[in-house]
Amino acid sequence: MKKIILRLLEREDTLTTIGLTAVVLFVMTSWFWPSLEILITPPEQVSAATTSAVTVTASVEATISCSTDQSSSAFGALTSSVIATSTPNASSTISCANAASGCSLYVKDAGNAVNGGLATTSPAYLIRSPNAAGDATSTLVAGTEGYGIQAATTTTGTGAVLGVVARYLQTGNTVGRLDITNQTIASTTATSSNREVKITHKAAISSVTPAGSYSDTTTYECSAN
Amino acid sequence: MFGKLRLVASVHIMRRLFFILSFSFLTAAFIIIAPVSVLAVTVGPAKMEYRVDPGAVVENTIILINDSGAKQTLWPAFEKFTEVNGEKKFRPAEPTELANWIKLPESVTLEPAEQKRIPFTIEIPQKAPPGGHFAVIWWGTAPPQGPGQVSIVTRAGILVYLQVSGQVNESAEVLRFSAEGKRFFWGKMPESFVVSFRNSGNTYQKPQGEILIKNIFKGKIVDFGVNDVNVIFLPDTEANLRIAKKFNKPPFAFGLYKAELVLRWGEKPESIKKSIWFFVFPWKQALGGIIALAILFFGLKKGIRKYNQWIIKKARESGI
Repeated sequence: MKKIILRLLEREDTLTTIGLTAVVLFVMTSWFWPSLEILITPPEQVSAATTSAVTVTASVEATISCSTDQSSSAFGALTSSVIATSTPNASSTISCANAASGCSLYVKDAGNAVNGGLATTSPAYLIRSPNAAGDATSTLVAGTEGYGIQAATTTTGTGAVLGVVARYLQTGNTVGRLDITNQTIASTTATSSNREVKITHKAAISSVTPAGSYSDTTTYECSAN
Repeated sequence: MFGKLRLVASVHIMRRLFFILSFSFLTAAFIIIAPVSVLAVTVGPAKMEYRVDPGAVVENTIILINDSGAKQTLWPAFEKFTEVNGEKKFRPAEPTELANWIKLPESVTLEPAEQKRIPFTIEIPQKAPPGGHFAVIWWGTAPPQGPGQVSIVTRAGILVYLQVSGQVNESAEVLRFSAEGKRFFWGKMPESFVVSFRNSGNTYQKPQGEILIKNIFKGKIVDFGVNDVNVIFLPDTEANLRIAKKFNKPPFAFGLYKAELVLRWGEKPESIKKSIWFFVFPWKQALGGIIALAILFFGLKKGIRKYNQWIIKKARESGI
């Protein structure tokens, strides 16, 4: 018996067979593994003793909250030699409680009711947003007409973070176009609380911009996705 | 004497300076920290869905909360909405559209932090066309008349999805179903899938279902809920649903697997089934196993050789 075992062990193909058997066993076990796991997992629910049951129901409604910390912002007297930033900057906060698909913050402006921009009625004139061509974004230059906004998120709030869209995620003197129809500024993909976006309004005029009292109304809107 | 007086005066000045600085700092901190919410409104529910007959009247309530620190009057405004490239577009509604069927009080005045349930009705005309109708109820303040050149208005909206019965077309299709990354070979069980859905009917759809991962013996390994967040597809829109699962303990996977998608939508739940195959090769574990086997193989071989030599030596010594 001892001699037979010794002979078998001396043969290399015996070891190869043992190795291959181990690999095959490993592969087959891995296929069945999850099923085995299910078999040995204790049931999540067990039958309870028969007692009188009290059913408590409650409904949680999804809500949307929207707030802005300013009701107006002013550029002061615009001159063709500077790019003006209105003060104060506005901060919009959005919460979407139990709205699992998240929520969005939109912006639109009044402009001249045809295009977005800073408008005056006397004389009727529009500093078009963000530039005379009405591009999606534009880098403002002193002495050339333009107007628009920049948006940036802060660390305020909890839950899903707000993602600012490329058009408004600008720095320096580059601004995004304001339209008379709503445009998304930022959105979340899940519930969030008190997430904040800081809005900066910038404008520039040229030497031929008619003198007048220019104004605009920007509307910030929040809704579920 | 003068030195002592100077010291007392210096201490006194420093105390006053410290007080002024502290006061200034606290005032500044208060100004920075204290929230200055001009308009803060909460509305609920975020979405409302109704399936109604022509001529019906829906009666319900919505929640309105004044989150600001001052009494404020809020006005409702109604618009229709559509979706363009997955983005909601709010537009003024035609007189015959849902936005004009909703009846609400002209305005609501709320004390600070006051919450009210506001009753509303939706009067569906007898001749309302069958299919989906969509509107948003905005609650906000009137534009402020201030000195600033840029007036800021804020409003929060409730989305209304309404389906009028009749010739409702609920056709829709799954354009694509794949594991995120569109790969066939995976190093571990994929954790996210993409379902591209198109609603080609005339009403809204909320497709829901599940993805079942099965092994080649049809044993269920794991399941994913599809559209648990209730994404709604408007007519003539398509979008990707991302279905992801974060495993606490990822299931061990090796070999060929099948992902089966079952999706239902509409009033008469049509269901669609699609499946894809993928292969999981846990190369990290496999590499570890191969190294362990190699060590075992060569170690055993060497050990046996040494053992043989030892046995032979012993046998020779004992004269066998």
